[in-house]
Amino acid sequence: MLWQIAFYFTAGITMLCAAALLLVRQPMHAALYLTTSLLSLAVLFFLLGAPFVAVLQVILYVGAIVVLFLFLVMIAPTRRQQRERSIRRGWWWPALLSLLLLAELAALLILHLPDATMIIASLGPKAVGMALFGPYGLLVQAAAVLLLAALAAVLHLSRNREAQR
Amino acid sequence: MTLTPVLVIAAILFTIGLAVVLLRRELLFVLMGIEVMFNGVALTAVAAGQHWHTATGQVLVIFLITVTGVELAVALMLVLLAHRLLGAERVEELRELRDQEEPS
Repeated sequence: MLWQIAFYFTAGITMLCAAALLLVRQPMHAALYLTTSLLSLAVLFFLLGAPFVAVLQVILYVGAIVVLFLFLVMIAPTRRQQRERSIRRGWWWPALLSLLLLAELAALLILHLPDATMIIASLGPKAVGMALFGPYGLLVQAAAVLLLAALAAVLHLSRNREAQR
Repeated sequence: MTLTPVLVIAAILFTIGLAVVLLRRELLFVLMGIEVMFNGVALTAVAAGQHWHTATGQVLVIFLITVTGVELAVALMLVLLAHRLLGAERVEELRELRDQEEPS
């Protein structure tokens, strides 16, 4: 019972902070709401019995990805007059489409899924590591190549164009 | 505890991210909406992995986080370049794909 209270409370925080992205005006506030949403999602992972992924969520998402967002917010100042009208007219049609998608997903999940009881058992870092470097070892190396390619791409994009002319 | 509420929560997260992508016009907010969508997918993967008691779901989330970091590094660099070279912060300001000068 306590587990369910904690789970639904954290899920509510996650969804509220994500929905706040629709309304806030300042990019820095949006980055903070995104951080809160990511942290409560890490708590959800922990409650579902995945402590390793929860820790990685904090380290990688909050420690690396949000920091990238903050760098961009600090480097590129937003123009003030464009903050006022962040959601303009014509917003209701995408909103209606999103609501339709949500209703369809919820109906599919509620109606057509067998209501299987889920036994929460913790799968620790050892099991994840055995799977990661056992059957998925090739994918780890592919991810390494992907990271190297991204490094080369960012270095190419961020070179100083003025100095080369 | 059943699997269905977790999947519904993940679907709500995904839809919120999609709504952020569709409704906000700023490039930075579009990227944040993509992050929220990734989070919904990650919650689905973890819930399914825990449901069947296998580590594959968590492995999928680890790769998802890696690919998200790669995508975000390149995309944020492009947003910064769009701001620097074109002065564009919003989606509708990116309409200079056409060449300026006439081809000779």
